[in-house]
Amino acid sequence: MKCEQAQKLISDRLDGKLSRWKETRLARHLTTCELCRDYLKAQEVIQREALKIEKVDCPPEWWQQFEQALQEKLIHSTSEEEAISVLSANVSASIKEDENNNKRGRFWTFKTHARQAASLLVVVVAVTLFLILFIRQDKKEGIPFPLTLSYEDSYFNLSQILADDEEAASNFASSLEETILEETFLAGSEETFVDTEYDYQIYNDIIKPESLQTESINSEEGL
Amino acid sequence: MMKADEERQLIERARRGEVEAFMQLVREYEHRIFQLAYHLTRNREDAADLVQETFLQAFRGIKAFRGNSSFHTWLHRITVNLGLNFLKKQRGASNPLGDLDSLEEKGRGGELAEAGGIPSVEDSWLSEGFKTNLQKALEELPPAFRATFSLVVQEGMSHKKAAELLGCSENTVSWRMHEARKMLKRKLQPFLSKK
Repeated sequence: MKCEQAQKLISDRLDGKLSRWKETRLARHLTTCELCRDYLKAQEVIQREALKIEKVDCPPEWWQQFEQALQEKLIHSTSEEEAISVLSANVSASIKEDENNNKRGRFWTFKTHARQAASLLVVVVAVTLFLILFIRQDKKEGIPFPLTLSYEDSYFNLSQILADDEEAASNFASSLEETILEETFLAGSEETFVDTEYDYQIYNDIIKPESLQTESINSEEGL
Repeated sequence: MMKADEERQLIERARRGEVEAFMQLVREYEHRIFQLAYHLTRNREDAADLVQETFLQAFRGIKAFRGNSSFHTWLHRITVNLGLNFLKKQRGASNPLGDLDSLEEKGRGGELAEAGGIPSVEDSWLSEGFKTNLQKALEELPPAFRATFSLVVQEGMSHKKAAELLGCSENTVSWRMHEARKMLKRKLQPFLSKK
């Protein structure tokens, strides 16, 4: 055992905290180490003298004054605590009031927003109703409302009109044909240009009555 | 000695803010708390201040006292905490380098005697002079070591109890006691060797 370890055990022994096993080890070390024996002796003197340091006490009058002063401070402390609690209660009440005011303010703000939203909704509903009524009126008159009808609706509406009115259908077909031809010519593309003369010749070639007649003659001649 | 039931009732009343009930508890424990405070401060006036502050803090915090430990232990803990703070402040004011190493360095060459605090070596090591030097040496221990030494040696507490009050482990208490004893021996070596 090293001396440092032995001195630690000496300290524990003076405090009455040394196990029997450690006590045996320490005793063995002390029989061979004079330095640690001296250390033990010195520590026993210090311990004894430290315990001899007189216990200080004060006369009863001093304690009386001490208690009186303490009691006054405690009462003062209690009244301070009460004052603080009253103050904190007031502060918390005012905070609550402020919070309520804030809540009220927020409520009014919210109400304004609600009113604005309601106004907007009314406008939207009014516009929608107006459009619906207007469309219905237009449908009765047979003219579709192009801005509000979908492509399918427009087509369906148009096909109904054309089915009901032959003259209108004929006019529509001719105007459509004119439009297509006009657009084709205006495009000016050779590739897309339709040579009507050529078509006409082919057509005439195919359905040429003379040809048919020739065949029939030939057939007749053959027969 | 106050009975446990009586003490519990007084604590309950003190919790409700009854100063007189608390004062009965003060009268029961003030002498023991004063002894502990004096062991820590080594000065009557400082000890009295420490005791007063202990009871004021105890009164303010009595609502938080749950009875996990005894009321006496709880008061001791408050005193030790306040005492340690006091010692740290005192040490900071008198010795800004108040750490263990500087204290040990100071003690090595017997500078305590040279500073005029220790009477001549011719005085008996059991004389009042030795006691004075021992007291001075104890005062110069670092706060944690001084508090531990006071609780274990002068208050006669076990390592376990001291550890509970100081908020540390028993091993720490054991180590602090060992280190405190080494420091004291170093400081008092001239007188001890004379013997």
